Amino acid sequence: MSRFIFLTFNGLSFGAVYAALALALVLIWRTTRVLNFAQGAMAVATAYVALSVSDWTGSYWIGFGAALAAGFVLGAVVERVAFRGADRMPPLNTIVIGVGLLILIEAVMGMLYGSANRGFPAAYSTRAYSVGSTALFSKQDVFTVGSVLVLMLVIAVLLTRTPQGLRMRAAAFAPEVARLLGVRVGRLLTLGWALSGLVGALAAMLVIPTGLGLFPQAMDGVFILGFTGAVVGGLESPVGAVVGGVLTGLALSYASGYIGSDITPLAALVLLVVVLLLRPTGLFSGSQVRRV
Amino acid sequence: MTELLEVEGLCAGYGAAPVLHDVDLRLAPGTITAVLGANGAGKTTLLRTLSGLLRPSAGRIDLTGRDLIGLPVERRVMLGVAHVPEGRGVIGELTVQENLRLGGLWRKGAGARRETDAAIAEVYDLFEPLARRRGYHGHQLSGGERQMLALGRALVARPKFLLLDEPSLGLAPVVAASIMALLRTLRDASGMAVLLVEQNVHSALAIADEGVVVSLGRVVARGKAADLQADEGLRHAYLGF
Ligand SMILES: Nc1ncnc2c1ncn2[C@@H]1O[C@H](COP(=O)(O)OP(=O)(O)OP(=O)(O)O)[C@@H](O)[C@H]1O
Ligand SMILES: [Mg+2]
Repeated sequence: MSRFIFLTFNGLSFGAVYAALALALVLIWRTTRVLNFAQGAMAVATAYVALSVSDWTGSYWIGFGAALAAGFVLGAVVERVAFRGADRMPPLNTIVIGVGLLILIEAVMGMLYGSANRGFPAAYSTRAYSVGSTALFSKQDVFTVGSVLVLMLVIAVLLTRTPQGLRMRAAAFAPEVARLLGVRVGRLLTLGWALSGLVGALAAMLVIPTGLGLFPQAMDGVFILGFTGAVVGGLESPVGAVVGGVLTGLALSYASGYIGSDITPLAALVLLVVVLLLRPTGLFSGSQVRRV
Repeated sequence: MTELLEVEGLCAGYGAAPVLHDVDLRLAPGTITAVLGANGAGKTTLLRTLSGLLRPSAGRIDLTGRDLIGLPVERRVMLGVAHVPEGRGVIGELTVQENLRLGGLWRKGAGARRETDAAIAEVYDLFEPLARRRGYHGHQLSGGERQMLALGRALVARPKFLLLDEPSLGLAPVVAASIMALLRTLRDASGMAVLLVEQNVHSALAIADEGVVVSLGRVVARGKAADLQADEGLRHAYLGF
């Protein structure tokens, strides 16, 4: 039982990271039909920004904030430069652009910072609190889950409670109709990419300190798991992305805890296959959402 | 009479394929002009060019003396152009209230919110069924309710120039008739110019002031709605009744 509790907390903590990445992917997919394969690499780039800024300023938190800001800017720039008009491109083109960008960003990071794994400190202690002999969760886990939760609430409020959010949803669901109502769709696509970049940056800042370390390919594996979460959630729905990400985290944690850590990658695959067999369009994609 | 909209020599098409040839059009404020023509004649293309979704290859579009050519759709909306597209364009994933709110989001500055709220309230007065379904999603509405929503959403902008692409398509005759009657009321109350594309020639000419007949992308006839309706040769050649 105590092991189960520990694995659950552990799964939630990693699940929060996968949820963030999944959300980052979904924010872009639903507006532009791009599956951004460079998402993980972009996120790592922001962690390098954090490293540099923290070195200059001597402040961990200024570096942390710089990473989020860099993610926001990088997302917007990538959309403007690489993916403008992507909603009208054949899918293969966007995949090629995404993979090309992934290679480019990782190469540039390698040139600037070297390919060695640099340690990257966590914001808070990663030592787990325990009750009796039962390890539960660390301060860093609480920070991880808490900060992802806060960011998601902010995005949810933005999307559902503000005029800008209404414009963004309209632009995502029906770009041409949105334009006919005076919405500047192009700008909102950029904003969506920027938000996605910010969410990805948060994911990197949370997961890189917990054992991964910082090197250009650091997020390649995490990206796959975020992607798994997004697909499990149905790719269309932000809520689905979050649920899918958390499910992925839990499934992996239980699998590695009870069966062995060698099995972890396979567990993601099994989750994916099971969900897609039961619901080929993912858990939250909508039979209830009919396009008009 | 000073015109609200003046179109001269408008040519447009998709890629290299021209569809509209040298179209002229004049709309006075407070009038309804019916655009008639067979399937594929270029009616939708004309509306898309006027609202800015499609870039013309030649011609002039003046709205109250202002040249619209080169202005993107969003800027034209601010100048008073509202286009209810073919198939209506109700956003199914958004609620009735959100769809309506969207119709006024182009407004900027102080008082924007108040003006939009007032306009939405008017739309709810106009369309009782919508008022009872504010929280419904667009895809939960019937065809007639969707048409009300699409039209209502355009009215939230309080446009000067309203473009309607086959508003009665797929509606029961009695619902279609009530929408047509409403257009007339709106025309009288608001002074806007309406460009109405309709397959149902009878009901369109019954409420319109003017009519233009489009064939193969050219205006082949124009005149008072009553005259067009009475012109037997024209009816046989282009309107099929
Ligand atoms: N997106 C497009 N790309 C290429 N050609 C198009 C496109 N849309 C329409 N056309 C062509 O332009 C011509 C005019 O089409 P348009 O939709 O304007 O006709 P319409 O008068 O609205 O017809 P309907 O009554 O069937 O709605 C047609 O020949 C059509 O094939
Ligand atoms: Mg048409």
